[in-house]
Amino acid sequence: MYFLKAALSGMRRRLVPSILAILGGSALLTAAAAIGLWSLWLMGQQDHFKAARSASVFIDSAEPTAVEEALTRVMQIKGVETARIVSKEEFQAFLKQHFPDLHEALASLGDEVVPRMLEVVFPADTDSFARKETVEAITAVASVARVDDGSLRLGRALTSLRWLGYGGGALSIGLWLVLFIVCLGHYQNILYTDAQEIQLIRSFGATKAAILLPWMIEAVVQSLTTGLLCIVVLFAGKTYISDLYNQFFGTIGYDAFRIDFASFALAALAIVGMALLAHVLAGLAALARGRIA
Amino acid sequence: MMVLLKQVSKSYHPNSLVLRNVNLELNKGEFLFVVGDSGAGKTSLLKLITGEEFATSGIVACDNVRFEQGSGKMLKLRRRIGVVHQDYRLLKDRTVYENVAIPLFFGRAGLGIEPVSFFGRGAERLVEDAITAVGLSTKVLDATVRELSGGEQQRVAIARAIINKPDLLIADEPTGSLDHDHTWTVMDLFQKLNIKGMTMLVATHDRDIIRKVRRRTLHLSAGTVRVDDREGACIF
Repeated sequence: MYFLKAALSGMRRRLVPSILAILGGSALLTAAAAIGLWSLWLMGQQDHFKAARSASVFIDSAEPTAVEEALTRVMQIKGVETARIVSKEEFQAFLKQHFPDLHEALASLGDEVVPRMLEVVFPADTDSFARKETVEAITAVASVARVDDGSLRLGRALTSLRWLGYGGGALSIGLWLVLFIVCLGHYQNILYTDAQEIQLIRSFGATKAAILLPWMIEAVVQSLTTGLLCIVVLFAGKTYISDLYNQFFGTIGYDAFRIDFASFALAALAIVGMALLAHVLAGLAALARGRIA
Repeated sequence: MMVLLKQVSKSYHPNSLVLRNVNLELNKGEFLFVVGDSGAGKTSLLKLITGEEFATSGIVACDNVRFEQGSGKMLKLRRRIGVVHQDYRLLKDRTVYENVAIPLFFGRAGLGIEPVSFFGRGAERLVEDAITAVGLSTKVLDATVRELSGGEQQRVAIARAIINKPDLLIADEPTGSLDHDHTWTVMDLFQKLNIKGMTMLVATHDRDIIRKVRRRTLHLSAGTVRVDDREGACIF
């Protein structure tokens, strides 16, 4: 009872700093969660990029029969899982989505300039040697002008993405550290403003854990409020965030990034957990730093 | 509970001692008045025994536990000591009930009373007993401390000090803000608690109390023990 009352009294007396801490924490953790979610997704996606398992095969004839014949031959090559013709409409839609200027320029020139192409997908367990042999076999097919191997094209991009993922993770940790410092300041301030009460309960034999307990009750309330606020912001901005990420990384052929229920739940748990961890560690650090008789 | 001070000196600033080579042995169940002029060192002496301050030199011990910075045993010992501070140290924004109940939440309850649970079950009766023992009505329990008069606040502080039935009660000017009747209500209570075995250490300016109660009296002057009157016969 004492601990609950002390926590409630503390929150009432520190209403403005508490609200500021919640708002600041929400902003930091929303950014951390948004970046963290994306980094997590990026790390997981690297091995599943469709482009990494595929190759674009350009045909040097605009004749539909030549394209279909090339498809039949390519399908017969060992090491090809599936292959399909990329229609003009599909190609133009792709251009329209990712390269609008180029799409407009090509549309004004007519259909004949649109390249005829196949999309070939290799099995997931294909090693680089077998893949190279398969690509050579496809290149040898009559009417095949050029084969653009997705894995070669993506090599550098994947490395960059990996570093972006690490960078995003590091940025999340950095934002959490800022929150930790904010919380540390908050608890050091309590040590100062509530010095009389702390001294008093200490004189009745209160342990440091007993001093910490009302703070932690306050911390749970603050963390849950922070988490709730972050989730509302994240939910409100999920379409914007998804579009933002996909705008930059939509051209390399992966399934579009989106915040689904599972990632949302993960973000919610992570935010509350990060907020609580920041509060608990900051409370302990403040107690360790504070000189309490 | 036995209190021992051996060659204790205390200074807050270099070259100015507030206590100088104080020796004191207080046995279990004893009643001791500490008297002296303002600045004689009464409050400092009491703070050394509560562990709020530490001696600059010498030994301060309760039940053979030395009071030293960072001593884990000291915390357990504090739970056996009730303190009435000169400035009351009440939490002004809390109710009387919440103030009086505070010591119950930090461990040991003494002399035959059960410790209360985390949520305070069992505290209500103990708080009511303590508040009526100091001559206050239970009607004040829901009032916040800032609504009370100085005398009422002082009695709330005394109720808080005795609620846990400590082995040693240390009171610094516990009747300073009380009128004659309430002063004697409190002194009667202290004597009753002392008869039940509680060791008492009371700092006071009130000559009338010392004259009538006639207990061991320690006279402090400029930080030194001038007289340790074991019979309480020597009136300053």
